[in-house]
Amino acid sequence: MKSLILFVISLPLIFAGCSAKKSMSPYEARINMSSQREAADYATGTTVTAESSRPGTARGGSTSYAKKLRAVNKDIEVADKNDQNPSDSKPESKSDAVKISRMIIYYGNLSISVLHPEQSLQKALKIAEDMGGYMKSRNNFRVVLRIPSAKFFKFISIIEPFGEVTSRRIRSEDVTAQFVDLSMRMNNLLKARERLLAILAKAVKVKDTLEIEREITRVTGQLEQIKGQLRYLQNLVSFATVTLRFHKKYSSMQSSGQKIKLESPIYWISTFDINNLLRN
Amino acid sequence: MKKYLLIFTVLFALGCGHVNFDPPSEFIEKSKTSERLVLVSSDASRIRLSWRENTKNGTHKFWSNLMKRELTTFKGYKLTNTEEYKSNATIMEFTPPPLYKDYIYTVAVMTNDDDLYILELGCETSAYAEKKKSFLSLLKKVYSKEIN
Repeated sequence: MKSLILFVISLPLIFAGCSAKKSMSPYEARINMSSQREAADYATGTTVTAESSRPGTARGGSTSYAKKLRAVNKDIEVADKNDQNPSDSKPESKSDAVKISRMIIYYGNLSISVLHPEQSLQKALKIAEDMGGYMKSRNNFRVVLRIPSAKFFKFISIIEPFGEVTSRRIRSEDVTAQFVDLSMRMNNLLKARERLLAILAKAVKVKDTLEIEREITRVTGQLEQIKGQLRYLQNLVSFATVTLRFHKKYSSMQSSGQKIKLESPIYWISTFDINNLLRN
Repeated sequence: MKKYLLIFTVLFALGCGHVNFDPPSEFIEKSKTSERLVLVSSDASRIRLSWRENTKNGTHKFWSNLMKRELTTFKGYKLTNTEEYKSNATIMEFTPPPLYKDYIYTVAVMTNDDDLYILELGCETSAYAEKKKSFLSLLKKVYSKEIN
């Protein structure tokens, strides 16, 4: 008898649990996972350090940065699919709190003095391609490369020994808040559109139908805009932007006698040459 | 009172700058500051006159040697000719590195106790003879007005 009562009491709980799981949007599912992971981190005393937030460094042991990026990408794709088939998606406002693991954009800017700029540049391009990156633009010996974020620091460490680094600037930008904000707005808009579609199905008057459709168009427009921004951010996070400048290095070592020539003690004297004159 | 003020302003304006020279024939003034005058010709040759404050013992030989060293040792220029102009000036002709292989770069360094003048000419080899005349004419003007 007792077991029967327990079974009857637990039935609604089981159904509630199942329905909650079914109606969970992909973002919420991932966010839930992220929350659980963070909760686990806090529970085990693991804190997010600069080292652990570096791309390519595993955080919490098993989950790598690349995996996280793939997960987010997948979510955006799923959201797109749901968007194409709105009947399949069932957004539910179980929790509006969106938590996303850290999203960081990396930028690198290097000026390197080398003996053969063209050769060095070609070599850098080859390394970038081997690492899964690509060239964004090139202007003489200045090249902008996109390198997978996970390999950003490795790429820099390979490039630096090419010559004498005359300038090095590396910065990062945390866009987690922006990403969370956009994700939340996307979720809200998806829900709003669902509701509008439901109202549209019930509308009888032509005037009402037109008004709802207009509203749906507006919401869809905003939704597309946010998805575009999310994709753009995603791309920036996935690929670090590295700007390389190669300068010709005039060897101060005489090839035969290995004699060191000291540079001029008067800095402005180097501004006098035909190149400077003809470009004045 | 106004009259004196006007005269003072005009005189002050005339006195400002160290490179108040008219361009020689075939050249026009491209830009001018108190310390630098840039002239161009129709075939894109350039003459530039620069002024700097001279320091103690800063003879024309010192500055011309420094410039020669900078250009030949670090920038790949070849010195083709050197000549002294009067007592306080040196004229040097250089063949630039391969990027400007069809050009000639000429520099004149002039000094007195307070001033250091550097006059440069950059032009194609084919036009050099013609342009050097203009260069020398400006050199004479600078020398007679500022160095002597």
